Amino acid sequence: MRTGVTGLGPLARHRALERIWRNPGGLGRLQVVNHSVVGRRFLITGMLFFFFGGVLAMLMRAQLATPESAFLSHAAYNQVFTMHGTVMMFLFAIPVIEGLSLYLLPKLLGARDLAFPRLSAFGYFCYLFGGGMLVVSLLMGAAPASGWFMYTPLSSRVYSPGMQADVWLLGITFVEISAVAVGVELCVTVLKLRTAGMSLARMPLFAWYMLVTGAMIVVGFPPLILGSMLLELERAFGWPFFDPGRGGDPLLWQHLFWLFGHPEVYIIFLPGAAIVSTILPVMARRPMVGYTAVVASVIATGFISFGLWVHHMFAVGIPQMAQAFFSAASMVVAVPTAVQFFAWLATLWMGRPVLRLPMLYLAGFLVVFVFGGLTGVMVALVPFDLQAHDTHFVVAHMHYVLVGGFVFPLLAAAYYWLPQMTGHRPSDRLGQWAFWLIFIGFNLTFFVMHFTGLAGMTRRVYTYPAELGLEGFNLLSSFGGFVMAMGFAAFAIDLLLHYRYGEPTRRNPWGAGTLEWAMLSPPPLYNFASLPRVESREPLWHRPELPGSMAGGRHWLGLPRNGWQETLGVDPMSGEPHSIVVLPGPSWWPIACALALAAFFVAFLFSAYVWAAAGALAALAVALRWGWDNGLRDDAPNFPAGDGVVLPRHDHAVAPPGWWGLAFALVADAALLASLLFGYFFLWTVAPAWPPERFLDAPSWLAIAVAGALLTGVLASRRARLGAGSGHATSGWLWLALVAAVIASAGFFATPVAGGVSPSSHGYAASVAALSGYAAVHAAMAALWCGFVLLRWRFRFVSALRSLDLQLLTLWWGYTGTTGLVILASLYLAPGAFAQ
Amino acid sequence: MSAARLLLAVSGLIVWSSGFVMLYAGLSIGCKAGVHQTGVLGANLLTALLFVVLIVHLAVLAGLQWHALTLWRRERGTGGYPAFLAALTCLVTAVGLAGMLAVGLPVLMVPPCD
Repeated sequence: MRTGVTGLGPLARHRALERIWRNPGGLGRLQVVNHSVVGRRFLITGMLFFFFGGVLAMLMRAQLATPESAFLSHAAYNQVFTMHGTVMMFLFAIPVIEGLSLYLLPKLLGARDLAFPRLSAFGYFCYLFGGGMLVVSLLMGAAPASGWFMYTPLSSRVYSPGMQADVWLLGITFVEISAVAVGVELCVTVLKLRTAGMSLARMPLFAWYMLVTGAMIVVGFPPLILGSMLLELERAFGWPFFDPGRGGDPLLWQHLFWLFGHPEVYIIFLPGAAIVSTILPVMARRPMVGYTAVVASVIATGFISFGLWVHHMFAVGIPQMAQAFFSAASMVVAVPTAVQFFAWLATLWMGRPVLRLPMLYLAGFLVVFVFGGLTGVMVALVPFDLQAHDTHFVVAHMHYVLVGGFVFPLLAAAYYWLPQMTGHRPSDRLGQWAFWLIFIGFNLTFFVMHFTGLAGMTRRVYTYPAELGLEGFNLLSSFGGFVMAMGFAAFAIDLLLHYRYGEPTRRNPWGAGTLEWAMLSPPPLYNFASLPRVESREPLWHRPELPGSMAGGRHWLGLPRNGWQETLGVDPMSGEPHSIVVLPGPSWWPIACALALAAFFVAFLFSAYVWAAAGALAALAVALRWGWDNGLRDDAPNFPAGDGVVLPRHDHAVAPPGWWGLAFALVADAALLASLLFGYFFLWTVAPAWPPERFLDAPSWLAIAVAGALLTGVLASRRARLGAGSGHATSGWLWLALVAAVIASAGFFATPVAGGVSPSSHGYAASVAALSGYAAVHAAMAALWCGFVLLRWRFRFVSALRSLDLQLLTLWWGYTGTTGLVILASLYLAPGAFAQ
Repeated sequence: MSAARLLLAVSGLIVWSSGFVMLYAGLSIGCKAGVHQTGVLGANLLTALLFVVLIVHLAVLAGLQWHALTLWRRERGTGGYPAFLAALTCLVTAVGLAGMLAVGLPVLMVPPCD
């Protein structure tokens, strides 16, 4: 008998699932972790920030409309342009991408929620609080004013006294914690939480794009998090990473910033392209042409985009050959982008396209982004870049890429998916007005700006003299800007009114083939009453009866049981189910943890370091308590899942989502360490005022003791895991790993002191302290984790069948041991090697 | 088929990344250390070393491409995700190979430290 045919009618099943997935009301809404709700929160907050950033843009255009205008003072203008860039890049684009993915991915993949719903909720609160810090600072007239890229030395203490730069560094770091959390979420969800039969070859292209985007966030954001930490350490404690007089180098900031900054352009573009690749085939009424080639080009874009960062630094004085490497990579990356373009055109050419509202916005995207891509190839050429660098030409190029590559697809997505989200259709007429106002206004503003730049107008200046002859261009740009603003106002009105006045929509109004259209509009919190086995990339085109049979519970997990929020865990490659993932419900821990972190960041901002430490400890305590809730205290049998198959719960399976989550988090951690090591060797190679007066002179026995402790910890944690698997006592091994972690942590903390280097004396000493601190904190975490697992062992959360805690500990210890040895080698062997 | 197969699919670009980093880092450190001031076989030593780095990466990529083509010939026509992954591996490796060639060509065309 197939699971789901259990006597429950569709309505009774719906009610049973609604009871299980129900969200609390009132103040309890703060506990909600469901992906549809958290995704919508990201989207709404991101759109509010977008309109806020738009108002700032209008202030800038009002100021620049006429020469020598006194509309804004130079100080106010600096804050406004810094906040405009910051808001649009960090508080609008990335969070909206995250919100859309969090909302859509499970629905497209045939899952009932994300892999870590509480992590997403935590990410949302980090974003909200971090973004709130920045907005409050602007309202108080103390917003950052050094540009959204915060170049040193302008952002260093000497030239930016006060707390304006600190607001940026701390607020953005807080927001980036959110981004990395969501990046991990996206990767694990795509790889592990799909419906039955959805192999990698049958995944919707949207999921491929978001897998690559998630991985790029995980690798690309840590360099800026590290850069912000180092600059804050310099500003707060005088550790001179960027001070050329004391062995630092301002160019280190530029490297760290653009190591993040250029991939970020693609982190913004790829989700835009994901939207296009999802909507365009529906509008063309045929499957996407060149699926495999598109997947290959998305992966290629993800990798190659990490090899372009120096093209933002052509003017800083680097060797021609290095410039040629980055110039070549900047042109190579255009090829996979072009492959996607030709695939879209071929899909339209071979299909039977209909010009409905989302397609109109996609047409706008195709035109605008091509312009941005072409000027991108122009600025990839070093001689041209040297002419156009720091002019409004680059401002125009950047807006063509970002607005063309993301905003137009986002508007298409809004008109395409709003009926699914709210059950109501927006107005076609208002949508068309909005499109033409935005399209015309945008091109008036920014096409003209290419000429303004070529005529010599530099970026980031609050005014210009009349005799430069730039007033005509600037006035036109400002006029276009206000036309565009009217377009966005029309869109906002449509967005607000459609919920009340829009026509109710039927299921799947566009005739799409992907699973998000198999559900009711607006969708229930559990998404699907049962999860189907899919046999193609467009299951609804090949099996139009699926929505009915899914609602009837005739597929996988159609039987609600134990009050569990269940979805399928699958093999990442084949999509074959191998476990039943039981997802956590509403919880106070995500917001409590984010609040504790907010206390840390705010206290640090006001130099209240004791309170900051208290906030950090509180966040750690909450995180541990949060982790304590996970898992069962008893072994569970296998459960019927569907198609006559019985499956284990996820905590009884090998490599469950939690293991993958930690693995991706460690990739982010490794990217941070790699950036720190890059900084260490970069200063050594390039910075002036080297060598330092003294190198690390710690006794060699200290290094040997630390190395021994690291190896002991790695081996002991492995033995503990193997012991648990074979039913033997593991607590002795865990205690040994704990002691080893304490020794390693103490040894790393003592290294700079024992080695006679003072972090504020020189860039070298600061780097040594930062590397030692990194390793010490990781070893301390290993000690804490050993103690935590010992406790959970005692309280029966761990058994031979339920060894996830030990799998995670082993993974952490493996990372801590490996990176600890790399750091030891860098600290102790590099001085000798470089001296030779 | 394990997740390592997915890693193989992107290995062409991992090798490309390694080549890119080694060329850039090697150039920076080599210029700082004055390696370009030593001559070897009519070229400067730094250019020669970078050329070796380039050739080694191109050779590895060529080997990977051969392996990917073999996989693809074996799997094509079978349908399902193994055939898709084999085709994906071929395409991604080809991008890595072409990208390495494009990025590495300046080694032969431009003096290293000017």
